Amino acid sequence: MRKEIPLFITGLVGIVLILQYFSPNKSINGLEGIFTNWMQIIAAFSMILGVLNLIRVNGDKIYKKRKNWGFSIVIIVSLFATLIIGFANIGGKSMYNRKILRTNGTVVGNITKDVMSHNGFKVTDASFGIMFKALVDATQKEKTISSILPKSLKTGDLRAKFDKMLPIVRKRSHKSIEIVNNIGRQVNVELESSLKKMNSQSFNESILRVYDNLEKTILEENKNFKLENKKLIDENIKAQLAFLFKNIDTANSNLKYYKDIKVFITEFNDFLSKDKDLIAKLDENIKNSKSYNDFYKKSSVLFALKQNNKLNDFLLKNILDTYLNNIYVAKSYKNAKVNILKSLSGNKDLINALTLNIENKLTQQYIKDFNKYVSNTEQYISGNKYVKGDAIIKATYKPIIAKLYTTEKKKIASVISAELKSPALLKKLKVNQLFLTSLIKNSKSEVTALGISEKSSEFIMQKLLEGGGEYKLYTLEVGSSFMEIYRYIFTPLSSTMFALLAFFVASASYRAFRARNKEATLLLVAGFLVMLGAVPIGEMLSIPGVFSVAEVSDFIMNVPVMSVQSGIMIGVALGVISTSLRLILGIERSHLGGD
Amino acid sequence: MEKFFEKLLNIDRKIIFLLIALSTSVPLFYFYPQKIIANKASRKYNDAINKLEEKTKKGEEVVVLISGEYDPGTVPELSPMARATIKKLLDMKVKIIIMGLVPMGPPLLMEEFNELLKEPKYSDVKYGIDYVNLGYTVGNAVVIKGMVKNIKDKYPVDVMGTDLNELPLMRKVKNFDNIDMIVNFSSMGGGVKTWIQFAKKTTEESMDIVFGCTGVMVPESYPYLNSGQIQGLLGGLKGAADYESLIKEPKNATKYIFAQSIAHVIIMLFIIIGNIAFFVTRKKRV
Repeated sequence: MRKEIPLFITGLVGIVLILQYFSPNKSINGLEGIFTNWMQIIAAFSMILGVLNLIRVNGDKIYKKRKNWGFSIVIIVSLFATLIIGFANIGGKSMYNRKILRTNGTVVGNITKDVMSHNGFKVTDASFGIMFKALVDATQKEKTISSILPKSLKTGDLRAKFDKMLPIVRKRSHKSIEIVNNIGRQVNVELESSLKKMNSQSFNESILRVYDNLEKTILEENKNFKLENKKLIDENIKAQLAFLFKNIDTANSNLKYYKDIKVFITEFNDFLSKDKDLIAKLDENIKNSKSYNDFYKKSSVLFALKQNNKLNDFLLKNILDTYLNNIYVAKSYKNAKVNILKSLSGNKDLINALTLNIENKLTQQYIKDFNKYVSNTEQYISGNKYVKGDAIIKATYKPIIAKLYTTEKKKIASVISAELKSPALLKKLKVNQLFLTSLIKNSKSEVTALGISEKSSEFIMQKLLEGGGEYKLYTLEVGSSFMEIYRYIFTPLSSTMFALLAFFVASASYRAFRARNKEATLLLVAGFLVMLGAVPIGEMLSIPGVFSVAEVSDFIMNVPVMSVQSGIMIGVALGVISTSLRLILGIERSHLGGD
Repeated sequence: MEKFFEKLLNIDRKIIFLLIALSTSVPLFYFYPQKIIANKASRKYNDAINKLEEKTKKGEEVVVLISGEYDPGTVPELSPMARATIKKLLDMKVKIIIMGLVPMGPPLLMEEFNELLKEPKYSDVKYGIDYVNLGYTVGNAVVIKGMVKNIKDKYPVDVMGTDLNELPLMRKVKNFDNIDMIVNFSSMGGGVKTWIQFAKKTTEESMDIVFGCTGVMVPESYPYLNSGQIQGLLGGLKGAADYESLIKEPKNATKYIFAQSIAHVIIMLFIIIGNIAFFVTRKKRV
């Protein structure tokens, strides 16, 4: 049995792998899939076996103190050092932050940056919940989606699209969640683009209607539909919708969930900046207030920062100076902010958070986290390249930094997150760099740096090192000991080993490359020409129009070498086929250690 | 005279080593530009890549999979050609998927990639949309075989552990049918053979495969080129320098090839001297 079982397995696997090339049969193809997966697992195990064998052989050598046993110690120590550093991820980011990094490296859907599509996304998300429910119902009750969804719910041609997809879902109901997820993505894109096409008036009306219906349906019809912090999300959406609907009062009244935030600043996106009514209304509100401070102090204020407006300098500075301890500055919602807040969830002492230039998209989960954690943070400041006018930022960053680090109420932990991609972008973002540098330099407390991209990690680390003080750096690319072992030990050693080849080849050719007989002379001449052809200097020996070393070299490679190589390859292939057949049929058994 | 040649025949190999060391290192500091004439194989490689441009110009999305199967030892030969190829592909707005069948391949390719991304003109190139790094997975031929049916079977996540379904580029690429070209840079035994065996279809609509390899692998790769199983071949440093000259982007390969030229000349001089010494002293030995 010791030999029969391996022989049976070899035969079976071999036959299946051959058959799947000739047969479209699903079971054979399925088996082939399983076998190739097994092969991969076995290949992975062979690596572990290799490591164990390395330890055994070198351990034995050290134990018996055989010749050069000292080298074996080096091998074993290097092996364990690399293993431990690799697994412990010393100097690298923690698993938790790996997740964050991963999330930031991912672009979730095609959700645009502006507030409008952001809202579109959230509405889509909610509508997707309804759609999902309808889809599940329709699958169970053999109905169409159109008949299940409330008539008042305006979904454009999405109903028809969903109806089209229904048979597929029914057919593969066991995979319905996966399919529905895919549909959801499509719906997001569809709804988003349809929202974009609408003018402000129709957008206003339709989104309200959709939202009202969604809310009702979520609450009444879909009791099992889980939405964590749903209330907060609802408030959030309402507030933002109200903002879009140019109704600041409604927006203010819906800003309940911003408990600790008195000032909410957002930037005009392209859509809103064209909205003269809103700008006019804001200007009017400002004029009617006794002072800017009065304007902000009255209540929670939703303030739209206008682009290219000289007022910005003054306004922003005033806001920051007055409400520095209780301020929320936002461009639009970026998942990076939420990620930072997420990462801070374990740090109850945190009072300062800073994020710079994050260009990432938002998902429903982030909204939840955002709502969950934002109230724990007393200061949350965001600067980004979209805020126009360096002067504003230059003027306002200084007081921010000053105040950030004069607070002594609690242990200060600051989170810095920055995405600084290319050198060109770095130049553009010089102000942010200055801010970041200054922040780090002024930091008297622990700084937790979260580098989103490799570039930003490098930059933050560099500045942290310059600034001194305690810090934690979470990143894989820079600072990870494992990567440093790879870069500074493994790479040079491996290159050195290969480079030695040049010396031995030179020495060996000098001694062995002799024209001892006709065959050797032929080899020598061919080798000589190919060597010359392999470097541009060979062309210098060519006579234009008469003799070209490159062409001769090409000829040697293309004709004689190729013919011989083809012959060898065909021979090898035939050998492989016959050996494989012998193995599959159990004729060849030497690998089992027997006859 | 004979004594001199006898001494020459038994020359201390340390002298050879020293001359080789000087011939490879000194030219790196004193660069002399040489006229590089691309060989046929390199020209084919260039043509195959340029063929993709026709598609991109029409507005079609072109996806190229680059597999790195080399280690730091062969970086001087393979990284320059990888860099030049990636640069050309980025210029052509081609979507790139990086992977490797040896652990060191993808990081080495990504080193070149990240260097290029520092250039301002590539600041718009975004991970997940324009390129993806799948990383290394164990299994060699088995991996390729699995990817033929469904890439996500063998690579459910990318190198950072992101689900491929979350990456817009990978949502569009299910298997090799959605890939326009495979570029393989290899210094390993199997080389491009494994890709041809498992990824290449025998039909005409199969994607193109181009191959960049070390100098010593060139002879065994030629049959695949001439049979049309691969559409282009860059052999060693010369191949890399050829391609750099073809795309008019002279970089490291163009610089290193001068050192290689000198080293080749030194080796050839040694062979000539060795043979002269051999013939002069032969009578005595007979």
